[in-house]
Amino acid sequence: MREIDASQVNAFTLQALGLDPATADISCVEAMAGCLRRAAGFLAPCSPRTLVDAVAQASRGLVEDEREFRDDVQDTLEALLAYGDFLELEEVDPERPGGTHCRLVYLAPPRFVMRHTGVALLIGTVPEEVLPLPPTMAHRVRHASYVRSLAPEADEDLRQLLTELGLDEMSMERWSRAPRSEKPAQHVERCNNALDASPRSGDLPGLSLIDPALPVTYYRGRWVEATIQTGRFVARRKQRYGADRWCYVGLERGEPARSLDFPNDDPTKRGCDEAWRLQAAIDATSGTPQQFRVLRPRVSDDYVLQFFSPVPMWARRRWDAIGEPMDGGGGCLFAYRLPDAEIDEELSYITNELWLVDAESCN
Amino acid sequence: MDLVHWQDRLERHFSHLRDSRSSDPESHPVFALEHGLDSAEIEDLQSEIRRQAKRGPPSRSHRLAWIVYATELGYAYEGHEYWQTFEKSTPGWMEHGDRNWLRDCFFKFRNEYNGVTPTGKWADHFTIICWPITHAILPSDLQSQLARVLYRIRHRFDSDLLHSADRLGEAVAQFSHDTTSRFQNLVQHPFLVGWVAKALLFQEEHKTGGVILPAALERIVADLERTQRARHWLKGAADSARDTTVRGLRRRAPAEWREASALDQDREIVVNLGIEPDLVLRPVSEDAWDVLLRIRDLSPLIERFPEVRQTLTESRCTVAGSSGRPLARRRVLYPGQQIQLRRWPSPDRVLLSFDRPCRILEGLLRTECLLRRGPIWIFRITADGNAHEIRTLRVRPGCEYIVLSKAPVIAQAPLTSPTSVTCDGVHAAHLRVPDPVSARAANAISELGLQQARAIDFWPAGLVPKSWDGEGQCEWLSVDQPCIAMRCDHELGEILLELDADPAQTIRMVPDSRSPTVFLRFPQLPPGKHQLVAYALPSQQSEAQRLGQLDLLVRPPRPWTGGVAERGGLVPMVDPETPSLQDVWEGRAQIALCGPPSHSVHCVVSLFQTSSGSRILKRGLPPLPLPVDSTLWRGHFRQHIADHPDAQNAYDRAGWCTLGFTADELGSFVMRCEREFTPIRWAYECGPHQSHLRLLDDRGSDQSIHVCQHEFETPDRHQELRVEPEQPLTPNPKGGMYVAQCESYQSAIIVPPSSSRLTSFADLGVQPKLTPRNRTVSDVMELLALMDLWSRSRLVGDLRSLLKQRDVLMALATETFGLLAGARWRAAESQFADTHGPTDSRLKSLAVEIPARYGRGSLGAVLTTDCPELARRPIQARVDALARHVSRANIVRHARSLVEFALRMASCPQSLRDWGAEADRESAVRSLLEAPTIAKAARLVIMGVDLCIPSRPIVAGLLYNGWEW
Repeated sequence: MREIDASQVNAFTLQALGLDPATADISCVEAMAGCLRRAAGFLAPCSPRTLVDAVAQASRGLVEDEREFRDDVQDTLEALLAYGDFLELEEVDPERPGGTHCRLVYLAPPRFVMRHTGVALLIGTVPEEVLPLPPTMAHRVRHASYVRSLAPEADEDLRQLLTELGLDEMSMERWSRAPRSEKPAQHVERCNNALDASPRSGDLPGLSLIDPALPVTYYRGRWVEATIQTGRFVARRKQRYGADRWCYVGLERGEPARSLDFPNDDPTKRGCDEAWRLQAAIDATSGTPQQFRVLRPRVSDDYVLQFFSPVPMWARRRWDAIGEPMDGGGGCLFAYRLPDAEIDEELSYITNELWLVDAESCN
Repeated sequence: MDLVHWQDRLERHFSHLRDSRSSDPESHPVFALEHGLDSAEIEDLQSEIRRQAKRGPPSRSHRLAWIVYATELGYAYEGHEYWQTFEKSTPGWMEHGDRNWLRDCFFKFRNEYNGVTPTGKWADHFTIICWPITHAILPSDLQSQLARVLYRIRHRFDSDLLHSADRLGEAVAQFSHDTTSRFQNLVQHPFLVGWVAKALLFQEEHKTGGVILPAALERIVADLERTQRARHWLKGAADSARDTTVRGLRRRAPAEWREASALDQDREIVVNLGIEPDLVLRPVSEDAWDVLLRIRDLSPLIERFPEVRQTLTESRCTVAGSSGRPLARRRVLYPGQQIQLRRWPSPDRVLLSFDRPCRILEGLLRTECLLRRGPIWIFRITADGNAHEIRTLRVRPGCEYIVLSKAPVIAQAPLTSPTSVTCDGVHAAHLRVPDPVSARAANAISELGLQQARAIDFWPAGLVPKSWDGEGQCEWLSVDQPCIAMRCDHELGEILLELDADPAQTIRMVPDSRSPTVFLRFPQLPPGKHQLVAYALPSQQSEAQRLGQLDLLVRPPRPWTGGVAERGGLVPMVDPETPSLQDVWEGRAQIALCGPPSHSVHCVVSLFQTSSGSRILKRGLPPLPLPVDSTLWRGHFRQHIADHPDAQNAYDRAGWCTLGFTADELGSFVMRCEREFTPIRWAYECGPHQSHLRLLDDRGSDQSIHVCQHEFETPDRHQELRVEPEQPLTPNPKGGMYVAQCESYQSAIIVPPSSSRLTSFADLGVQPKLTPRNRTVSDVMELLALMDLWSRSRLVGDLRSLLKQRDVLMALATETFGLLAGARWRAAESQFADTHGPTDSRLKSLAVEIPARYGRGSLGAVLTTDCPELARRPIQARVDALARHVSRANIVRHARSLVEFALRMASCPQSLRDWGAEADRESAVRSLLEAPTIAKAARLVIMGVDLCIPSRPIVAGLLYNGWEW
């Protein structure tokens, strides 16, 4: 036993997570993702807040701004759920086969998705281990943001190797399957019809909602408590235990009249994805579409796309497959680096399928 | 080279090997696989043997060549019919060969060359083939499994374990619960397994002369490494073994153990394993909490106390205070089990009880598996909304707690407000500790029996621990080097930190007031409990003042080796864990899948041929919505696979099957189920016009097999048949049960009547006529034996076999209870069967036959009223309830075991084997003859519950709904 200082704790933590202390620190996304995976390997199934709390607690005294760090851990958890390292599911309890209506975080099984470059994206988490791979292969894993990938060695059949090691392959199409194409007005109308058809709602304690009138460039700032609003809003309800419930709610002077829980389209999907898509449609139809920004660093052929609102997981997976997530900076919520060859198609996709507009055109 | 030359060469080789090992203090035996031949030479020898076999009987002067030949077949053996493979590979053996002769050759080899002797239960049963297979050291199909188990236990290696072949072999045995039955046979010889494991882990040492001839070891390693997965597993395990040896890591053995008695030592070991369950409260509404008992993984108990293995792996566990529904077998061997408590258990009652009692286990659990004695329990409300137990009973300013107490007054205490728990027998209050804590508040805290947390605060730093209660208890993995942070809330002088009271692990420091947080790094700690204590050293003269402590529990990690990961959304529950092909096919395996109802699971079943390994059947089953219980799965499998003639034909040719389950994003897993090696078995061939039976004999014994047939109409009578092994037998057109028996082996099969006999729906069933019997123990026992035989028989053909089996079992059960309960009861059951209508009116005819006084009414009437409620409860709770009723009606006191016997007998006769041994069954029958009211009451409850439960698919051997034991 010996006394060490905070920088040494940082370094030992990164080493234990398979990261290089020379190039990372405990508040980088790679480290937060590693800590979350480790915590989930011990604590899952559990509430998302349990994981964030476990990671934040272990960082006391190691990070400058603990509140900001907690927010960053929350965002990283969101990214890991979207990427597929974790699953958010209704509670599975063999003692209560009928379910408990509580949504918890589970470990996703270890899998891989082959990129067209031959690189395998590693997905899923195993308990009590850093990687679902033998220690002899750990040094080959590349960590970029929350994404872990493995490049083939010369003359190596990586697909076969990973399959033999017990990882299931998931096709790129299945992994990043998107819902059918739709215009924003159609989407809003469909959700409004579903809300109209839903039964009248009782009291919804712990309700907070996205105020469409607030700027689309600061997502966290758009969340407000339900007070005296009237109208239809994307909202979420805090649960006593488990993940928040996402919903579409009709309010009359702050009182819920009707409420439609998400997921509504497909019970196997995430509620937040449906909620975010609806909010993007609401913003697009109300004349204040959500925005993205395109940057081209001087030293690179790649483009950087910055986003200010969350997008459904199928969109993020699409960019995880062709690009690389990165720390965007500039007040954005998340960012991706995309190769030059892909940029035109992706810009068209963002505009037509996600209903976002380039921030430049709004200035 | 001819066989004479091969014999000469092998004689020289094995003599040299024996002599070179004669100085070996452990006297390592010689294996026939250590023949030292290369692959071309093996082929040459095999050709010579085959040539010789065609010419005539084998000669003793070639016996070493024959031994090597048989061993090579053992090396390639995959657990199916050894002799069939032998005969097929050796034309002429059938005419000239003799299995006993071959065994004698191995005997002689043992005597002359110090050859290894097979041991264990398997070797006792399979007295001939155990020789070539044991001499094959590690047959090909077991290599990958051994690598996987070694990889899995690599974090448990210590220098003692790696030094002792016996201990290593036992460790392999303990962690091989999910391996095939063949591997289970291998681990019955722990010294041999440990020895091979050591050779694989330390290959470099063994290349220069170890316990296995280097050429043989290299061959095994090369074969093992053909699959990348096995190569990685072996390398990972070998790296860990090397690191352990270099570091000389030993398990901690506290000094006091040496002084303590054996019992105290065991208790100390149990405490160090950290199996004590803890409590968590989960909010269910604004002012109510569920109480959840979090059970620890009990597998470390098996590691330290192998004698509890059978109970922990083969029996089901019930949690005191829960709904009473038993947990699936082996669930206690996995971490993270949370069970809701509905009643607060007594602190004297062991929280876990197993349906197969084991005194040793109960003694061990009594040490660490009791609820903490009150009178107060405290739970800190954390950011996720749950409340976690704080065992130290310390509270901190500004924090909120739930306090549980046996006394109701707690909610009126200062600082508390009322709340509730969904658990009877305990009261709850919400405690808010103010910040700062005034003198009055401090007094209130003290009056509650709580303490204020001391001036020092510890927390895990950097790496997230396996668990942390927020106060002073944390858990780490043995591969971690934990860092912790420490902060004092006021300035202190010198501090002394002491780990495990070890002078070598002590730090003195003076915390810097400018950076009050101190970080510490521990060395890699061995599994067990550790304690860090902080003392303040105010001055040289005064005594050190204890500031606080941190309890650390260290556990080895559980490496993932494929399949669905623990803590995922798809939870397969399979019992037995590695079912055989027969278990799956004949519906004995319990397969259930837990998962969110929003998802479905798909299954693809494939059957593979014994000899070639080629796939002979592949069929996808329609998806099933999750969760899937074992009854649903059994019906689904029967409907879509087992009842189909093409699948039945494929089944008898198959050596193994795979069941591949996929539940989209939740994951997938594949179960490989191998045919369990049985000395005699029936094969069934279903043709378009005619079916055939064939008796397969792989005993290696000349003793004749006794075969008989029972018809459905007369199931308690049999007709003897003359049947030659391997020869086709045309079944009786009426169908029935065919039983083959020899020595202690028995194989039975139920064949349906030929299709031409099916002319109406009435032909689907049968009304058996039984021989009249007397009301004696022996006659009832005879009926029980018949029920056991009929219910365990393999079913082939179509649904008719299942229906007829059920009718036969129903008739036998009715006859049994007729004998036990008398003629009036028999008539009442008959009336019940002929009546239709509401449950209580149907049961009336039975209830009047149970007139025993019970309160103001009769036992029969009470049971009739209770049936709908009993139907909603788990089986063991029904047993408890009936035992209580029987006791209150003054029939028999403490009759729980007898009541369970009667219920099992009436509902699922095959489950009686799990209840007790034959002598116990006989004694129970005697008791029921003396107290027939219990038999009647059991029968009424069985039928009443059946009426209250919606009809489900018929399950082989199960007579009534809702009684799957």
